Amino acid sequence: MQHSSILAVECVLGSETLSFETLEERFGVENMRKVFSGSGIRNRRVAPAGVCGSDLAFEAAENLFAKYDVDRSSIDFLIHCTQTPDYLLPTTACILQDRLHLRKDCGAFDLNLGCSQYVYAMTVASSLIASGVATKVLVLTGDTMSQTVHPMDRAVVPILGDAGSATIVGPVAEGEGFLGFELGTDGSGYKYLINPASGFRVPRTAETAIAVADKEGNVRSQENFFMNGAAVFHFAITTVPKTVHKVLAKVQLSMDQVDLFLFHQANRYMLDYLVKKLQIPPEKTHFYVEETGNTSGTTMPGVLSDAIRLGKVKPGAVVLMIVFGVGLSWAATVVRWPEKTLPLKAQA
Amino acid sequence: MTDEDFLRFFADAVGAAEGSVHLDTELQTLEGWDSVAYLSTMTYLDENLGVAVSPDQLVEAKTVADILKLARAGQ
Repeated sequence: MQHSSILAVECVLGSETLSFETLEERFGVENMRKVFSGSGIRNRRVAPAGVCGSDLAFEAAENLFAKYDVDRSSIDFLIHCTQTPDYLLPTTACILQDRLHLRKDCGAFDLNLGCSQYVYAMTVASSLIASGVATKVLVLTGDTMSQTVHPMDRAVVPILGDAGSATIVGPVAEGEGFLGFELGTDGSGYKYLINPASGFRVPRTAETAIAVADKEGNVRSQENFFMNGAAVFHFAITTVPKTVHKVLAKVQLSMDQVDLFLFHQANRYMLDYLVKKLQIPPEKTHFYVEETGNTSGTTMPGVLSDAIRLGKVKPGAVVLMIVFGVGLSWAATVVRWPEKTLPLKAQA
Repeated sequence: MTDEDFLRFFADAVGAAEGSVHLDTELQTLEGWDSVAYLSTMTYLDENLGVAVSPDQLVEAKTVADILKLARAGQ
């Protein structure tokens, strides 16, 4: 069986900043003080109108090809993860294959998951390589969740940001790369994170477009994204610690043997509590949410690329990644960082 | 965690003056009993009793004592 690993990762944030001060003006100082105390997110990066998640994914991929010594013709599979596609059909991955000038004998599909998408995509990419279907997989993520919310919904506007990423997954020696995965699903919680009138179950009508305020004053219509923050928090604090222990048991490693724990950057308040509950030393984790917002499935490649940039991921390091959210869906993996990742391009 | 410990925490969580919240205080009379207070209450009970009370259970609670009962029943 061919083993595989992440060999390079690039991330692109939305080009605009939706600042704390702007939201203080919109929602009021006291409301924002409360929101900040429960999220720890100060500013968020959002994409301007007209920019799709696939545009951010495309930009991240072009940045990756420009930075690393990798030939795009060596890519033989493309997985694009999004819940804000260009169209319901065709699959955005097909459009990206053409935009990125990838080979025509390159498999391509979209993976429709939100916050858990990155590790799910890693599971699929490593399986494609292990089975011999593919040799080098380009995994893209790109979402513009800020465009799904009502601007007066303070339960979600201050939380969400937009971003895209590009990752190359390729072959490595035995004992390196992905050591194992732990996946999970609880569809009974599907209503906790949902855009109700967004598909065929609830067709859009004049009625679904009517915005109403809930008892806390958050305004949204059925066509907007909704989050039950308390239910999601409960899900996270009960599921994440168990999943961390399960994936470590699967790969036969202890908490002490992990060099870096990376969590889906949902919000800082939640992450601080999870780190405390799991008794993880502060130097063994990394945060990347205070100035970006929760960028859905791109938080993991985002926090990973930031940790790499800061020298926190060295060859041989054991990195545990865990993601969780809409579905409800969750996934964890443990990676032994390979000795050889993609080299940077020689300077011209 | 004693009842007094929880009452001190809870008054702060809902933005009420210390000593102004009692076991028989009705939750619907507390203006600060909102989604952010739910988060801090879930965190406090998980941390101190090892019980993650769900938001669906919190919605059913009528008084402060009901929250404590729920948490202790889960131990």
